[in-house]
Amino acid sequence: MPANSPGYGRIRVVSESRRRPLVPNGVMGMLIFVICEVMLFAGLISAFTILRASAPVWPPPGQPRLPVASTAVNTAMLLASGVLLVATQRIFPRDRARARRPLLLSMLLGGGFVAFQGVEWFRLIRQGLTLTSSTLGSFFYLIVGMHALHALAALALLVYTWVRLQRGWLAQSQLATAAVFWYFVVIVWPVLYGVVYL
Amino acid sequence: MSGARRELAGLAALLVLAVPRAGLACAVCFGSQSDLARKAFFGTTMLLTLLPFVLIGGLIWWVRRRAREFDEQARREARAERAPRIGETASLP
Repeated sequence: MPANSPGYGRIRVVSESRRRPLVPNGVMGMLIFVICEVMLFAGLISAFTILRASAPVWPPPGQPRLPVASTAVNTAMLLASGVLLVATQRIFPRDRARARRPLLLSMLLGGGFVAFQGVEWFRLIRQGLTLTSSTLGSFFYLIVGMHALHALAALALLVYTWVRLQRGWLAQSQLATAAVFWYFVVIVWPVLYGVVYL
Repeated sequence: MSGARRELAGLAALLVLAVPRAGLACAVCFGSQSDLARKAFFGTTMLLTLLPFVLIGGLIWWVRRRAREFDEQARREARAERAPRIGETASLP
Protein backbone atom coordinates (compact mmCIF):
# COMPACT_ATOMS: atom_id res chain seq x y z
CA MET A 1 0.00 0.00 0.00
CA PRO A 2 1.48 3.41 -0.92
CA ALA A 3 2.40 5.62 2.02
CA ASN A 4 0.12 8.46 0.93
CA SER A 5 -3.00 6.33 0.54
CA PRO A 6 -5.91 7.07 2.94
CA GLY A 7 -5.79 3.70 4.72
CA TYR A 8 -2.06 3.70 5.41
CA GLY A 9 -1.18 3.12 9.06
CA ARG A 10 -4.65 1.79 9.90
CA ILE A 11 -6.19 -1.63 9.57
CA ARG A 12 -9.83 -2.29 8.88
CA VAL A 13 -11.40 -5.13 10.83
CA VAL A 14 -13.39 -7.03 8.21
CA SER A 15 -14.23 -10.19 10.10
CA GLU A 16 -13.72 -11.98 13.39
CA SER A 17 -10.21 -11.66 14.71
CA ARG A 18 -9.67 -15.39 15.16
CA ARG A 19 -10.45 -17.72 12.26
CA ARG A 20 -9.95 -21.42 12.83
CA PRO A 21 -11.24 -24.10 10.48
CA LEU A 22 -14.42 -25.73 11.75
CA VAL A 23 -13.00 -29.16 11.00
CA PRO A 24 -9.35 -29.49 9.96
CA ASN A 25 -8.99 -30.49 6.30
CA GLY A 26 -7.12 -33.68 7.15
CA VAL A 27 -9.77 -34.81 9.59
CA MET A 28 -12.60 -34.08 7.14
CA GLY A 29 -10.80 -35.94 4.35
CA MET A 30 -10.17 -38.90 6.61
CA LEU A 31 -13.80 -38.94 7.76
CA ILE A 32 -15.02 -39.06 4.16
CA PHE A 33 -12.54 -41.86 3.42
CA VAL A 34 -13.70 -43.77 6.51
CA ILE A 35 -17.35 -43.44 5.43
CA CYS A 36 -16.42 -45.05 2.10
CA GLU A 37 -14.56 -47.84 3.88
CA VAL A 38 -17.49 -48.47 6.22
CA MET A 39 -19.63 -49.09 3.13
CA LEU A 40 -16.99 -51.48 1.77
CA PHE A 41 -17.08 -53.53 4.97
CA ALA A 42 -20.88 -53.35 5.10
CA GLY A 43 -20.97 -54.88 1.62
CA LEU A 44 -18.59 -57.67 2.63
CA ILE A 45 -20.53 -58.37 5.83
CA SER A 46 -23.80 -58.48 3.88
CA ALA A 47 -22.43 -60.95 1.34
CA PHE A 48 -21.02 -63.16 4.10
CA THR A 49 -24.25 -63.06 6.13
CA ILE A 50 -26.37 -64.09 3.13
CA LEU A 51 -23.98 -66.87 2.20
CA ARG A 52 -23.93 -68.17 5.76
CA ALA A 53 -27.72 -68.05 6.10
CA SER A 54 -28.23 -69.80 2.76
CA ALA A 55 -25.76 -72.63 3.46
CA PRO A 56 -27.40 -75.92 4.48
CA VAL A 57 -24.53 -76.62 6.94
CA TRP A 58 -22.36 -73.96 8.58
CA PRO A 59 -19.40 -73.99 9.03
CA PRO A 60 -18.63 -76.17 6.00
CA PRO A 61 -17.71 -79.72 7.02
CA GLY A 62 -14.05 -80.72 6.98
CA GLN A 63 -12.81 -77.21 7.67
CA PRO A 64 -10.87 -76.13 10.79
CA ARG A 65 -12.68 -74.07 13.40
CA LEU A 66 -11.75 -70.42 13.73
CA PRO A 67 -9.79 -69.51 16.91
CA VAL A 68 -12.59 -67.76 18.82
CA ALA A 69 -10.99 -67.49 22.28
CA SER A 70 -7.49 -66.36 21.28
CA THR A 71 -8.94 -63.81 18.85
CA ALA A 72 -11.12 -62.45 21.68
CA VAL A 73 -7.91 -61.71 23.61
CA ASN A 74 -6.49 -60.09 20.49
CA THR A 75 -9.67 -58.01 20.16
CA ALA A 76 -9.20 -56.77 23.71
CA MET A 77 -5.64 -55.79 22.79
CA LEU A 78 -6.89 -53.73 19.85
CA LEU A 79 -9.55 -52.04 21.99
CA ALA A 80 -6.91 -51.17 24.59
CA SER A 81 -4.86 -49.63 21.80
CA GLY A 82 -7.84 -47.42 20.89
CA VAL A 83 -8.29 -46.34 24.52
CA LEU A 84 -4.60 -45.38 24.71
CA LEU A 85 -4.98 -43.26 21.60
CA VAL A 86 -7.91 -41.45 23.22
CA ALA A 87 -5.62 -40.79 26.21
CA THR A 88 -2.92 -39.48 23.84
CA GLN A 89 -5.37 -37.02 22.31
CA ARG A 90 -6.43 -35.81 25.76
CA ILE A 91 -2.86 -35.34 27.00
CA PHE A 92 -1.38 -33.85 23.80
CA PRO A 93 -2.75 -30.26 24.03
CA ARG A 94 -1.53 -29.91 27.64
CA ASP A 95 1.78 -31.77 27.58
CA ARG A 96 3.28 -33.02 24.33
CA ALA A 97 6.15 -34.85 25.97
CA ARG A 98 3.79 -36.89 28.13
CA ALA A 99 1.70 -37.84 25.08
CA ARG A 100 4.57 -39.91 23.67
CA ARG A 101 4.19 -42.87 25.98
CA PRO A 102 0.49 -43.64 25.41
CA LEU A 103 0.96 -43.18 21.65
CA LEU A 104 3.89 -45.58 21.63
CA LEU A 105 1.94 -48.14 23.69
CA SER A 106 -1.04 -47.76 21.37
CA MET A 107 1.18 -48.45 18.37
CA LEU A 108 2.79 -51.46 20.04
CA LEU A 109 -0.59 -52.98 20.90
CA GLY A 110 -1.78 -52.34 17.34
CA GLY A 111 1.37 -53.96 15.97
CA GLY A 112 0.83 -56.88 18.33
CA PHE A 113 -2.71 -57.29 17.01
CA VAL A 114 -1.54 -57.43 13.39
CA ALA A 115 1.32 -59.82 14.24
CA PHE A 116 -1.00 -62.14 16.16
CA GLN A 117 -3.46 -62.17 13.24
CA GLY A 118 -0.59 -63.15 10.94
CA VAL A 119 0.38 -66.04 13.22
CA GLU A 120 -3.25 -67.22 13.32
CA TRP A 121 -3.43 -67.10 9.53
CA PHE A 122 -0.37 -69.32 9.16
CA ARG A 123 -1.85 -71.77 11.65
CA LEU A 124 -5.17 -71.88 9.78
CA ILE A 125 -3.50 -72.31 6.40
CA ARG A 126 -1.47 -75.21 7.78
CA GLN A 127 -4.70 -76.76 9.09
CA GLY A 128 -6.24 -76.59 5.60
CA LEU A 129 -8.29 -73.38 5.58
CA THR A 130 -7.26 -71.58 2.40
CA LEU A 131 -8.81 -69.10 -0.01
CA THR A 132 -10.00 -71.96 -2.24
CA SER A 133 -10.77 -74.66 0.33
CA SER A 134 -14.33 -73.45 1.04
CA THR A 135 -16.60 -70.43 1.01
CA LEU A 136 -15.69 -69.92 4.69
CA GLY A 137 -12.00 -69.72 3.75
CA SER A 138 -12.69 -67.34 0.86
CA PHE A 139 -14.71 -64.92 2.96
CA PHE A 140 -12.52 -65.27 6.04
CA TYR A 141 -9.35 -64.26 4.21
CA LEU A 142 -11.14 -61.59 2.20
CA ILE A 143 -12.82 -59.85 5.14
CA VAL A 144 -10.12 -60.33 7.77
CA GLY A 145 -7.42 -59.64 5.18
CA MET A 146 -9.10 -56.41 4.17
CA HIS A 147 -9.18 -55.35 7.81
CA ALA A 148 -5.52 -56.31 8.26
CA LEU A 149 -4.65 -54.16 5.25
CA HIS A 150 -6.42 -51.20 6.83
CA ALA A 151 -4.76 -51.92 10.19
CA LEU A 152 -1.32 -51.90 8.53
CA ALA A 153 -2.03 -48.61 6.74
CA ALA A 154 -3.35 -47.00 9.92
CA LEU A 155 -0.37 -48.31 11.86
CA ALA A 156 1.99 -46.77 9.31
CA LEU A 157 0.16 -43.46 9.79
CA LEU A 158 0.53 -43.77 13.56
CA VAL A 159 4.25 -44.44 13.20
CA TYR A 160 4.56 -41.33 10.99
CA THR A 161 2.62 -39.37 13.64
CA TRP A 162 4.92 -40.63 16.38
CA VAL A 163 8.03 -39.64 14.41
CA ARG A 164 6.61 -36.13 13.99
CA LEU A 165 5.82 -35.99 17.69
CA GLN A 166 9.38 -37.04 18.53
CA ARG A 167 10.76 -34.26 16.34
CA GLY A 168 8.33 -31.69 17.71
CA TRP A 169 6.55 -31.14 14.40
CA LEU A 170 3.20 -32.67 15.21
CA ALA A 171 0.08 -30.50 15.04
CA GLN A 172 -3.08 -31.43 16.89
CA SER A 173 -5.02 -31.77 13.64
CA GLN A 174 -2.45 -34.27 12.32
CA LEU A 175 -2.82 -36.39 15.42
CA ALA A 176 -6.61 -36.21 15.05
CA THR A 177 -6.40 -37.30 11.39
CA ALA A 178 -4.35 -40.39 12.24
CA ALA A 179 -6.58 -41.10 15.23
CA VAL A 180 -9.76 -41.09 13.09
CA PHE A 181 -8.28 -43.84 10.89
CA TRP A 182 -7.13 -45.90 13.86
CA TYR A 183 -10.51 -45.56 15.62
CA PHE A 184 -12.15 -46.88 12.46
CA VAL A 185 -9.84 -49.92 12.49
CA VAL A 186 -10.54 -50.46 16.21
CA ILE A 187 -14.32 -50.04 16.02
CA VAL A 188 -14.92 -52.12 12.90
CA TRP A 189 -12.98 -55.12 14.25
CA PRO A 190 -15.42 -56.25 17.02
CA VAL A 191 -18.19 -56.15 14.39
CA LEU A 192 -16.15 -58.35 12.05
CA TYR A 193 -15.25 -60.66 14.94
CA GLY A 194 -18.92 -61.05 15.83
CA VAL A 195 -19.97 -61.73 12.25
CA VAL A 196 -17.12 -63.97 11.08
CA TYR A 197 -15.86 -65.78 14.20
CA LEU A 198 -19.02 -66.26 16.28
CA MET B 1 -40.79 -45.12 -35.01
CA SER B 2 -42.93 -46.78 -37.67
CA GLY B 3 -46.25 -48.47 -36.84
CA ALA B 4 -44.89 -52.01 -37.33
CA ARG B 5 -41.92 -51.35 -35.08
CA ARG B 6 -44.15 -49.86 -32.40
CA GLU B 7 -46.38 -52.94 -32.49
CA LEU B 8 -43.34 -55.19 -32.24
CA ALA B 9 -42.01 -53.27 -29.23
CA GLY B 10 -45.43 -53.48 -27.54
CA LEU B 11 -45.56 -57.22 -28.17
CA ALA B 12 -42.08 -57.66 -26.68
CA ALA B 13 -43.17 -55.73 -23.59
CA LEU B 14 -46.25 -57.96 -23.25
CA LEU B 15 -44.09 -61.07 -23.54
CA VAL B 16 -41.86 -59.82 -20.71
CA LEU B 17 -44.94 -59.28 -18.57
CA ALA B 18 -46.19 -62.76 -19.40
CA VAL B 19 -42.99 -64.47 -18.27
CA PRO B 20 -41.78 -62.56 -15.20
CA ARG B 21 -39.62 -65.44 -13.94
CA ALA B 22 -37.25 -64.98 -16.87
CA GLY B 23 -36.65 -61.43 -15.75
CA LEU B 24 -35.17 -62.33 -12.34
CA ALA B 25 -31.85 -60.58 -12.10
CA CYS B 26 -30.20 -62.79 -9.51
CA ALA B 27 -30.71 -66.54 -9.42
CA VAL B 28 -28.97 -66.75 -6.04
CA CYS B 29 -31.65 -64.61 -4.39
CA PHE B 30 -34.17 -67.40 -4.92
CA GLY B 31 -31.79 -70.30 -4.42
CA SER B 32 -32.75 -70.67 -0.80
CA GLN B 33 -36.26 -70.28 0.50
CA SER B 34 -35.38 -70.82 4.15
CA ASP B 35 -36.63 -68.37 6.74
CA LEU B 36 -33.10 -67.62 7.92
CA ALA B 37 -32.00 -66.69 4.40
CA ARG B 38 -35.03 -64.43 3.93
CA LYS B 39 -34.23 -62.68 7.21
CA ALA B 40 -30.59 -62.30 6.14
CA PHE B 41 -31.67 -60.70 2.85
CA PHE B 42 -34.00 -58.34 4.64
CA GLY B 43 -31.45 -57.42 7.31
CA THR B 44 -28.59 -56.79 4.92
CA THR B 45 -30.81 -54.83 2.54
CA MET B 46 -31.83 -52.59 5.41
CA LEU B 47 -28.22 -52.27 6.53
CA LEU B 48 -26.94 -51.23 3.11
CA THR B 49 -29.89 -48.89 2.53
CA LEU B 50 -29.83 -47.06 5.85
CA LEU B 51 -26.11 -47.00 6.61
CA PRO B 52 -25.23 -44.17 4.15
CA PHE B 53 -27.98 -42.01 5.65
CA VAL B 54 -26.72 -42.71 9.18
CA LEU B 55 -23.09 -42.01 8.26
CA ILE B 56 -23.66 -38.83 6.28
CA GLY B 57 -26.36 -37.64 8.69
CA GLY B 58 -24.00 -38.29 11.58
CA LEU B 59 -21.24 -36.30 9.91
CA ILE B 60 -23.58 -33.35 9.25
CA TRP B 61 -24.87 -33.48 12.85
CA TRP B 62 -21.30 -33.48 14.22
CA VAL B 63 -20.19 -30.56 12.01
CA ARG B 64 -23.27 -28.52 13.00
CA ARG B 65 -22.65 -29.22 16.69
CA ARG B 66 -19.04 -28.12 16.26
CA ALA B 67 -20.17 -24.95 14.50
CA ARG B 68 -22.46 -24.13 17.41
CA GLU B 69 -19.60 -24.72 19.87
CA PHE B 70 -17.34 -22.43 17.83
CA ASP B 71 -19.96 -19.67 17.77
CA GLU B 72 -20.44 -19.96 21.51
CA GLN B 73 -16.70 -19.82 22.12
CA ALA B 74 -16.28 -16.80 19.82
CA ARG B 75 -19.07 -15.00 21.67
CA ARG B 76 -17.43 -15.73 25.03
CA GLU B 77 -14.03 -14.49 23.80
CA ALA B 78 -15.55 -11.34 22.30
CA ARG B 79 -17.30 -10.58 25.57
CA ALA B 80 -14.07 -11.14 27.49
CA GLU B 81 -11.79 -8.84 25.56
CA ARG B 82 -14.21 -6.47 23.76
CA ALA B 83 -12.97 -7.09 20.22
CA PRO B 84 -13.45 -4.32 17.62
CA ARG B 85 -16.63 -4.73 15.61
CA ILE B 86 -16.78 -5.41 11.87
CA GLY B 87 -16.32 -2.17 9.97
CA GLU B 88 -14.52 -0.42 12.83
CA THR B 89 -11.00 0.90 12.31
CA ALA B 90 -8.08 0.40 14.61
CA SER B 91 -4.71 2.10 14.59
CA LEU B 92 -1.58 0.09 13.95
CA PRO B 93 1.00 0.24 16.75
